[in-house]
Amino acid sequence: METAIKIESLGKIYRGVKGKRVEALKNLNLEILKGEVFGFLGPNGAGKSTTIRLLTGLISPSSGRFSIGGSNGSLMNCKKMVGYLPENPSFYDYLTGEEYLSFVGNTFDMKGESIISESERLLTLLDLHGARKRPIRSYSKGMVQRLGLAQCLIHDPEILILDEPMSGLDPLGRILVRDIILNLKARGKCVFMSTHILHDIEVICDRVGIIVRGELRHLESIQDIMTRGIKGYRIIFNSLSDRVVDRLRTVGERIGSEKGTLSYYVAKGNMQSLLAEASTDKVTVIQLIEPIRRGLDELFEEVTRGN
Amino acid sequence: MLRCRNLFPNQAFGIAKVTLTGGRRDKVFITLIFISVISFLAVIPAASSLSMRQVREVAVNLSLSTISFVSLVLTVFFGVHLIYRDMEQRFVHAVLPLPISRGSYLIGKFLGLSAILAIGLTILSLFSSIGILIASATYKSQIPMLWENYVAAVFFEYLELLILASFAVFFSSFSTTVFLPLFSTVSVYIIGNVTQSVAEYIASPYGQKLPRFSIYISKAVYYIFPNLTAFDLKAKAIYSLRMSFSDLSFIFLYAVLYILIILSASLLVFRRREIA
Ligand SMILES: Nc1ncnc2c1ncn2[C@@H]1O[C@H](COP(=O)(O)OP(=O)(O)OP(=O)(O)O)[C@@H](O)[C@H]1O
Ligand SMILES: [Mg+2]
Repeated sequence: METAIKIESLGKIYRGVKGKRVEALKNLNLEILKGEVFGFLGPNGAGKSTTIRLLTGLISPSSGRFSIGGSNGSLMNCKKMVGYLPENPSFYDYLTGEEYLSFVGNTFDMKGESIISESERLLTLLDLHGARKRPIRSYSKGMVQRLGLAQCLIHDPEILILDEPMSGLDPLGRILVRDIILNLKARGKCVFMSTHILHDIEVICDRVGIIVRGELRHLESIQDIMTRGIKGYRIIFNSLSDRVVDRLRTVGERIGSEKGTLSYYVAKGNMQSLLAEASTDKVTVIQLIEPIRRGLDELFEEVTRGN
Repeated sequence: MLRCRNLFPNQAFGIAKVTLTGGRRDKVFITLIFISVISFLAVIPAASSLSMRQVREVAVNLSLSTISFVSLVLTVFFGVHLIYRDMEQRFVHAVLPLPISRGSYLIGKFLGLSAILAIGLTILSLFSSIGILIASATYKSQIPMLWENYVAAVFFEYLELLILASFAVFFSSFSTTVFLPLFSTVSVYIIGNVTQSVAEYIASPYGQKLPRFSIYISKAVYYIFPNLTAFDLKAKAIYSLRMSFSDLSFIFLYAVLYILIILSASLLVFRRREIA
């Protein structure tokens, strides 16, 4: 697959007042593919927004380089391919939502008619149609966030860079944004997003990177995390023979019983032998086997705490 | 307009348009213009008729002074907020990642401010003309009213303000506070208005007796800061004096050149500015 965003030993040192230096990003190497949704995770102040601000040209790197859309061209060429949503966005608040979208479409040299039709479509999709003629000053936090998504989608970019796209949204809004992102992925777009909501990452992303104090500590596909993360299984039995119960006493752990069923937890390593035992048995009936995973939250904690 | 479109990218015009819209909807702008219009229509004709004799001259003088003052306030107010507000309210975080170069942004901002001031000055001069006509009707003046002088006075006032606006942009291009651009821009206005008198004094026999050091300093100030006195055509408008076309052309070119230099300097600084 083609590379959408390529980051090579990118670093950023902020120079604050009195010459205080903050090394916000250290030697980041990352390659994100077309059609991939990449989740950027990390505790507060880890350097996520710094990375994103570097990619959008708001700040300039102290070291390293990056390219967007395979072009080693100018920053301007990169910017044309990207739809960007800043964290806690804020837009010219004396304009109406509709006026802002038309301003954005115009900077991408879009045609008048397509600006009108696209902004109409996005305003409806993001449930802002009723507010389109009101000044942005009167919008709620979540409405501004939705407008932020509309303004980064209006020119149908190949690459989306979203800094906490779900923040400030109500549950329905989140589902909507999740569906929008999944739709973008289905259309082969590349999405680079930072978030603090691990559940969203599990559902939306193909791959996660975890950054801690400016260093990329972990990089893995969600699928690998999910399969590697299986710790054991929950088994619900309709009926059990004494032989299997004995066996379960040593390899498993009883976790509950209800409506004539019994449930046990069995660690991953013991599963094979238990199933072999149970399959030769006529009395034992298994209703359900459910994998128990080490979730993303545990991985996050482990990586962040640094073992 | 067509030639301008080739000169500046579409993006600069987008920023200019947004800036102009912001200005038009600004309460300070609306209030100031409204109060001035009232004073042109009511206060100035009434006040100038008190002078009994030179009613029209006084009306022109009062009108031009009011225009100067109001437009100076507008320029300083909008000038220092032009970029500061975008930074402070973090509008730039959403705007600069769009395919807008730093140069287009800065030029667009300046063009937007120029348009706000042009609209303000047009409204002010239209209503002040009505005020002058009302005042002239009460007492016939011996000197004929030269409207082209009046228009020229307002236009050169505009050029002076654009120079000031370019300084406001320059100071905002690196400042993180609103105070530095505010005080610096006002200082440029004051220095720009006295620098010619100082230069004349130094050239006079009295001035030659000053210590060499202060002569050099004054000369440096004279060459670095804009000479804003040149843009004051009030006397010519009040007394309907003849104006030299070549002088005016020279002043016009001086303004354009000055603005270009200051904006280029602003761009050099703003290009490297970190927006975090
Ligand atoms: N303009 C700045 N000057 C100095 N230090 C800064 C500046 N901006 C950010 N930092 C520092 O850089 C580090 C990384 O900040 P960044 O905003 O990238 O974090 P983040 O991962 O986005 O955090 P969050 O989850 O809270 O959004 C922090 O320690 C922060 O204090
Ligand atoms: Mg952040």
